[in-house]
Amino acid sequence: MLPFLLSLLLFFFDQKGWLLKFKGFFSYPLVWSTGKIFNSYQGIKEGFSNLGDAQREEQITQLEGKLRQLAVDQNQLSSCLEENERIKKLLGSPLPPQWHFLEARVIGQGEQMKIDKGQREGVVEGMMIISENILLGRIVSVEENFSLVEKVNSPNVKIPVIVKKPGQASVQARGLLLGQYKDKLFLDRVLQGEQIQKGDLVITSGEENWLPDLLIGQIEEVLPKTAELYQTARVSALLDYQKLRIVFVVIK
Amino acid sequence: MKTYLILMPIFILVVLQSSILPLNLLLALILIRTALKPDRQSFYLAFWSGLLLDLAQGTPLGLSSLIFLLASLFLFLYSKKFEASYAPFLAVFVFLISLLYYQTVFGYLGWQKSLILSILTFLFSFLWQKFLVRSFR
Repeated sequence: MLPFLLSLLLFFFDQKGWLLKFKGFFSYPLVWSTGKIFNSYQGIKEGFSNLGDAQREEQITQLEGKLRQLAVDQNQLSSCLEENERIKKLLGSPLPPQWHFLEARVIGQGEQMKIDKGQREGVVEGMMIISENILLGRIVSVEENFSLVEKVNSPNVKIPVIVKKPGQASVQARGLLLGQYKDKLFLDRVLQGEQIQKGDLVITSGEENWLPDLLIGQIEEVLPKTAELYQTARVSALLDYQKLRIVFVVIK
Repeated sequence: MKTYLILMPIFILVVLQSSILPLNLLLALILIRTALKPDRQSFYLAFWSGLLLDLAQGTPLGLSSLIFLLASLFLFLYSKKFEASYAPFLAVFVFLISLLYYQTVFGYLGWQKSLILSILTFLFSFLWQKFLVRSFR
């Protein structure tokens, strides 16, 4: 009976936020050890992957990097174009706010990504996590010395997005991006009349408290049209979330 | 089986689960332990391991403990009338509790992970009963 009561009490106090200091103190050694284990694991994994075919692996990594950079550049270009057009049309309209970034190390990849920055560094729930202008997720829980990130490929996540052709400013389509795990994403709620195709970029629309103009992925395959009102597509992430070590928290 | 022998695997699983392991092996371990040896110590093990897991994972404190405790209590009561360590039963039970755990803690039904966990539980409890149980008695 005692453990049940204690669990309920602890849960209640934690929900009220009365145990933050206590949790920070007791979780410190655990967080420290999980961070060490995660880094060692990543090191070992990289070591093994290099053993196989180091040269080919390096080439693939370089090409992946270039591809990402191209996608980032294209998105920036199209954003600039769109911004210019808006400014021309609406002189005096406010420019997007300046964002500040907080560098964070990934210290765990369990159900949620764990980063080494918490309340102490000013992190709050709802902040976005990015890497190279690519959206990775949103902070869902903040402790004193670490935070948990719900990645964009988590089954809970639904992000309003726009679809753009690489290098073009105009919006091709609007839709809803759903997480599906293993770096796979699913684009839904795209009207049948809208044109989407393989290679199109999927970018946050800025609705529902998500920051705008952040890249998420690229359309991998447009699924065959059905009699339904909406068309759907499979989207591949631009980053391998499991390999990330350094990310950035966006502080507005 | 000495109780303290299970403390080290619990700690290792807590650390692994909150860093690199996507499976809730700790839940399976606690439930297998309760099924094999349904005593009052199971509740304390469930409580402390849930607490450690919550601290390491950053999930609401007491939530994992509560789920582990409820599952252990059910197994404890079940074992009074039936054979709780029967491998197929235990596998199905772990699957259901794992679904409940994912839904409550992370907000989605991690049915694929729960399925893998239940298969592992089945294999472990089957092997335990067939080969290992005598050496630990």
